[in-house]
Amino acid sequence: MNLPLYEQLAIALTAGVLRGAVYALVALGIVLVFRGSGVFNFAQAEFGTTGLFAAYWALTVQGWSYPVSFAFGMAVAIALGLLTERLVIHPLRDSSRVTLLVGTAGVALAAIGLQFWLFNETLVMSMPKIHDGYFTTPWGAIVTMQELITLGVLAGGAALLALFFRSPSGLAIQAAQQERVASELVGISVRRVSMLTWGIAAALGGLAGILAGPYLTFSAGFLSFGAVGSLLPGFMAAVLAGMRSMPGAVAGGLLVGAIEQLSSLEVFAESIPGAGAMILFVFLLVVLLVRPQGIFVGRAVTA
Amino acid sequence: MSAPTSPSSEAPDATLDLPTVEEELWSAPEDAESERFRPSRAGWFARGALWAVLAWFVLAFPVNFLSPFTLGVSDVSAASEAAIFAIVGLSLNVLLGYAGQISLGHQAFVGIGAFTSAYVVVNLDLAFWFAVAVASTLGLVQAAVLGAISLRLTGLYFALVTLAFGSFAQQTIFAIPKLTGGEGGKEAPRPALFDSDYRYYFLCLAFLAVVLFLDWRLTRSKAGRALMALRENPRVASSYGINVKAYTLIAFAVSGLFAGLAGALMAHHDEVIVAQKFGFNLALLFVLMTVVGGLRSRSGVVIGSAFFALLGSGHLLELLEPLTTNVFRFSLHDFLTGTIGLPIEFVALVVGPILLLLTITKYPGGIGQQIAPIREWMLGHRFDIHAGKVKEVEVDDVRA
Amino acid sequence: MTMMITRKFQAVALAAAITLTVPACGQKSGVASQVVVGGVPGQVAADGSIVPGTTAADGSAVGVPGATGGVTGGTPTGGGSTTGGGSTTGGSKTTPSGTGGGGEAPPATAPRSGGGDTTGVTDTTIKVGIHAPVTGAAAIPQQSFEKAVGVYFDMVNKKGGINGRKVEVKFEDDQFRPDTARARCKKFAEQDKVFLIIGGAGADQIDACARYAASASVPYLSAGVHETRPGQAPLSSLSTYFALSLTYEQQTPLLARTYKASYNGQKVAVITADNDSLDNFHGKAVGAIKAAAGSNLAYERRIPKNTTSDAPGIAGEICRSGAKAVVWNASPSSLLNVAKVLTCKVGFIGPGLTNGLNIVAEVGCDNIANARFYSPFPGMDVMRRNAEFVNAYKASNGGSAPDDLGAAIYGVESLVGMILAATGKDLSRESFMATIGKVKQFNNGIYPPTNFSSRFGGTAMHLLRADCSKSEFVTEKVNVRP
Repeated sequence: MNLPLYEQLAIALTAGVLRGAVYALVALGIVLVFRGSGVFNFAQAEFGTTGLFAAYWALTVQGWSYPVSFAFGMAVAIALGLLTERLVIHPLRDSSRVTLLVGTAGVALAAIGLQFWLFNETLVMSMPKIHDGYFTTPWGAIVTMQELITLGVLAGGAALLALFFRSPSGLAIQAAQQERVASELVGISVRRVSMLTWGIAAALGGLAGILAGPYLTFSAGFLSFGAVGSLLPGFMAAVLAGMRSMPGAVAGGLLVGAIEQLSSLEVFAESIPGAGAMILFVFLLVVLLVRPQGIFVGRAVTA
Repeated sequence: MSAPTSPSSEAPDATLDLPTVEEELWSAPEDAESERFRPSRAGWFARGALWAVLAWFVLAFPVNFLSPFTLGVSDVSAASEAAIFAIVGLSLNVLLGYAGQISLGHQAFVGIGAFTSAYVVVNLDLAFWFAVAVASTLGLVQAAVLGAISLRLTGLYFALVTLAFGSFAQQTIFAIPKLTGGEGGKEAPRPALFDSDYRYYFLCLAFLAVVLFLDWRLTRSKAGRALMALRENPRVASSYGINVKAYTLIAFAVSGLFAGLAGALMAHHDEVIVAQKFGFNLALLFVLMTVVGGLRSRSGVVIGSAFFALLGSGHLLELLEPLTTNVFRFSLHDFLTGTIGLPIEFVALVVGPILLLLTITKYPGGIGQQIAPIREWMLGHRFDIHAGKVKEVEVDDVRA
Repeated sequence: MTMMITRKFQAVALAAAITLTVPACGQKSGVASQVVVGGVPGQVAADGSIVPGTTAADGSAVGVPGATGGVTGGTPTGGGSTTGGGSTTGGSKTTPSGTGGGGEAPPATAPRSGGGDTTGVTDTTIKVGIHAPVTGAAAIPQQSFEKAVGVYFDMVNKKGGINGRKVEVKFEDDQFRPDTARARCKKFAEQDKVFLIIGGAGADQIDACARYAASASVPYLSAGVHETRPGQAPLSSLSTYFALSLTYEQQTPLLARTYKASYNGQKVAVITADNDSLDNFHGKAVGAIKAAAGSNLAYERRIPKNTTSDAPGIAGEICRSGAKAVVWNASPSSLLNVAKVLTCKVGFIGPGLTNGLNIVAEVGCDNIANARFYSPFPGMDVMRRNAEFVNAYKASNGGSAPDDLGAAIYGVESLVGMILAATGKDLSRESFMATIGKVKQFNNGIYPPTNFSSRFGGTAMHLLRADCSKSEFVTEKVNVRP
């Protein structure tokens, strides 16, 4: 395969942006939670895997229809998010951030353990796609409909979130995040706001998981460090967004996806094993050394 | 940090007698107290007996000495692994407990130490002891460099950097066949003197003792006191002229040193070391065993680490099986694999996170706090059920 | 690329030269052959009843279809003994020429003085260790190996054992990891004190354990895997190792032939996992396909051992190369992942994997329709007709129906059982290994007949094809010789 470099690049960037859509969904959840609770949520990707497992169970074991299974998966993901908030985040609300981080990592590990345990008998899990179609771009990249759907959901979800944060509830969340005590005084329930934040974040994770699941076969920990490992890329996208900007998280996710896919260029793929992970690591170091406050931080940032 | 994290049942007690931090964490309270209390002869005897049992359990039982049980090579090999895990736990304890920094890439430090040591012994044909020294040094350097980079930011970013480093090590470094021997693994022969699994166990124990000693010295050193002050109140500490970054860097370095050492021991323990071993799951397990063991409690961390090592390899359940079946007429094994369908290999993965969440939300002192009364009693103090009730055992981050 | 290939060939040639020189030392085959010939004949008759009709009966009763000429389902155990055993059929002694390119002379055989090493053997029992993945990253049903192990020996024990000894099977889960495999085999040798060890599945695990077994002087038998690993002594130099079927390298001519038969003139790709143990195979496979396809070899690549996130990229490259056939030697789960994202139709061809393939056909058959893989044991369509196997499996597993891993382990166990039986009452590690070298052929009607002119005793493979109407691999041809 000796494609010219620009063609390889075009193919890699296409694949990267499509993969980046998943990262962006995860990053949105991470940013949302960080704004809400100041937590690095290491369970974010596992909300997605858990939702995916639930949807898979509903579809293949229970034989429910695809939309119902999808909704069920989303419900389970959101339930896990709310449970996390109630059982871990709320009791630890006055603890240090590292304690909270350990807590979310514990939730992630618990979710992975449960997935291993409950689906131990199923060997290879494979979720059907919403739409089986695909097409080849003029420059030779293969694009599946499933990936386009994910991209579309990302666009729609981001738009909805933008609208939501202009609504009274959204403004309440923002107020509560910035001035907890003052918000309580004007009658905003911080507790409800926290639940809402975690619920939305878990829903974003669920979308990422259930939409990305059909890309490949999956197993426990799928969205954290499995076939579509999005935890680290998601965090990197969030860092690019200064941990605060929602549009930044979307842009960051797409950028991280594209950069990671550079590893598929022949120069890297042939000579360096696991080039993707190396590129991500170096990229993170560069960002942290050169521009730790992020790139896509937007205007209204209170970092 | 303002509100106590201990559950309400413990809170009143916790707020009543607040010892100075100095006493509570960094110098054992014995100095002040032991002058007042001297155990009776029977008391000394009881303590001595318990020490003897402990010594028997650690030193004699695994090697079938003065023991009614017969353990095979795989059992003593699991015991060695427990000792190695304890070193990893102590390594993470320096970071998490003393410096308040979390590493999610500790498996990479350990793994690089392991492959380095194997490489030095096999490819460079140098002595085992030298290989251990190289692996430890490399661990120190790695952790210090990564720490230096992430110190520019708040502590949470160290978690990210180590996470990225872990995946980089796993997918890129460990995929270099020259270093790791490919998928089939790299051979890591033991020195002739310690070729037997029984002897290797004592080697691991000896290294664990050295690490415990170094850790104890660290907490007594100026750096240790500075770290403590930092954790208590970074702003005050730095205004008193404590160099926050320098001391945190020392913690990184020491942690890396221990991790590299543990890696080297792990390589020669396994004799064939494979990259698969050092996945992200292992990083989480390391964090888990350290936190459940009880941050800043050496004995707790050692017990917690050994517990999870034995749980993971299935030996703990194997050892408990005769006890549960004969005494309680209940087969834990059958219950787990049959009744609830949980295979033994997943027990640590399912039980661990639950213990972790319970620890941080309800019992922040972990195992270390639970065993504190016995530990203090064994050290010659009056038995006090409230001993070791530490106030500020949460993982706190000095800058976040 | 040509540069690389020539270098590989040089390396292979060098390796072959080395291996040929190794066995020259310390071999006293004269003595050994006397011992065996003296020992076997008496046993063969007994075997016939002890390992009852497995061989002769199966060959015909099970009706392995289309057995290729030259290898009849004769009573193979007696193949080597010509001294009036009575049960030998002359026809079964055909020694296939050209087995094993870089192999060596018959395995080293120490003279048996008195007892030899009889670890694990008592007057009434033989202790055997088997390792296979139960848990871990392999796409293998959790219970498959647990159910499979011991089925054959259980059956034999019920019939009185082998030469009056019951076989006691120790089974350990190697978690699909070489380090665990080595630790388990160490346990077998040092703690359980087994007589011999059988490798159930997984090339890297088999490699790790075989090397340990050689260092501990424990006989080690498994299905054929790779022959060499960079930086390590070749498997053929291990003094206790025996591959019961063709190695990956030995199967490359078969792969080229299958390509020629079904896809001649069409573009072809060679995909191999990047395990370094497959370096040698990959070089040989590319060479063989190049010889068969010429410029139609459109794409060759090494892929990660567990291909997940790289799958779309690899699939895209396969399709862009225009390949219609893909020679594949990587894990079944990688196959599934790549096949799932393929946007073009290709036919897969592959060597015999030890992990069983039916899981791939069950989960994603549409993507691999008509894939042709070689295998040391026939497809379940044939094995289900083997009443002895099916009954033994059901008897050991509470009536549940056998799967392909059951067949795989049963095949290995019964071959080992035959060798044990042929060794006779006077069983030591030395006499056991000498028997392998001396008896011309073992044929259990499941594995293709063996011929240990080198460490790699395989002579042929069965060809299986993914039949999506049945969601499993079915037997297309048995005993295909390279």
